[in-house]
Amino acid sequence: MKKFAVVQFPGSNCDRDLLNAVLKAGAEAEFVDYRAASLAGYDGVLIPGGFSFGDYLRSGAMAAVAPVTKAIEEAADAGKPVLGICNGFQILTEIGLLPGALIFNDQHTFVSRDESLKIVNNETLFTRGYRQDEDIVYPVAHGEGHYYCDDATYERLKAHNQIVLTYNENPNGSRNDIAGIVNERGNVLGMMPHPERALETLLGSDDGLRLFEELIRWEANHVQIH
Amino acid sequence: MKKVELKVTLQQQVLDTQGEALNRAVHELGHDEISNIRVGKILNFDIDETGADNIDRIVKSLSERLFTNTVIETYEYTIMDEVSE
Repeated sequence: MKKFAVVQFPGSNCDRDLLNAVLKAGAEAEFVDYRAASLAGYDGVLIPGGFSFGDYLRSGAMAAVAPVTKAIEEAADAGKPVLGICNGFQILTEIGLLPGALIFNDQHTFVSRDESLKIVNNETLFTRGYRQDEDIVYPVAHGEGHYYCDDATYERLKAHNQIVLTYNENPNGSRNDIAGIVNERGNVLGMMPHPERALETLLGSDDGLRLFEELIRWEANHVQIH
Repeated sequence: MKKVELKVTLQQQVLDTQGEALNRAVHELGHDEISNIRVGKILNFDIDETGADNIDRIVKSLSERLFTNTVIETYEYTIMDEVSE
């Protein structure tokens, strides 16, 4: 059975939800401390939402220089899946594993609501369980979720089919409604919405479950390479 | 030992929501002569180095690795007087 690492930083607060999502999908998962030097033995790495290091300096900035960062980069280089949600997405851009940056929402307000989203790339190892252009609902909860990138970066994202998820009603001013992107190789996904909070219809939506079910089924030869 | 003052600001094309909100507040106070408020950060620190080249190398390296995100921010710094022991 595959085993995933859920990295815990001081201030992470979606770590238990993320661990639960992997367990519910049918794989093993363990918490790994941000001071760990290695992630060897794990089949993938999940970086939870929250406010790592109190969002000091910039959200994700301090986490991006924590000891575990090198191990996250090694896992990404090895082609293993790396998923960063919310603060995890901010951390992945700060590390440089994903392009662009997350800045304050354009209204400078914290947005917390169920969000209607569109799967615009269902070829990644994370999204194969969805139909192309399928509308889904994941909750969002963020103050700095406005995806920013320059024109050249946006053109590269388009050219390599790296935009995975878009907002149907943009809550934060993100460029071209971008809610989630992958790296060129397709094994590192960052997204502001929370699939780990969409596992039960009783709680609003179970649209997130398929993402974790696909994630735990990944095989090295499924990685999308452009 | 020198003192360094590092100023971090958002790049001009990046939306500064704090600056926009302040602009509105200042106009509501009747100060229409004020515009283009941009909010930044200042970091002050001591550095146990005296050679200008070394200071530049260290401050630039840390600025680009941690103190700023060069995708959205720019920085400038001033090396101040010797810190009195």
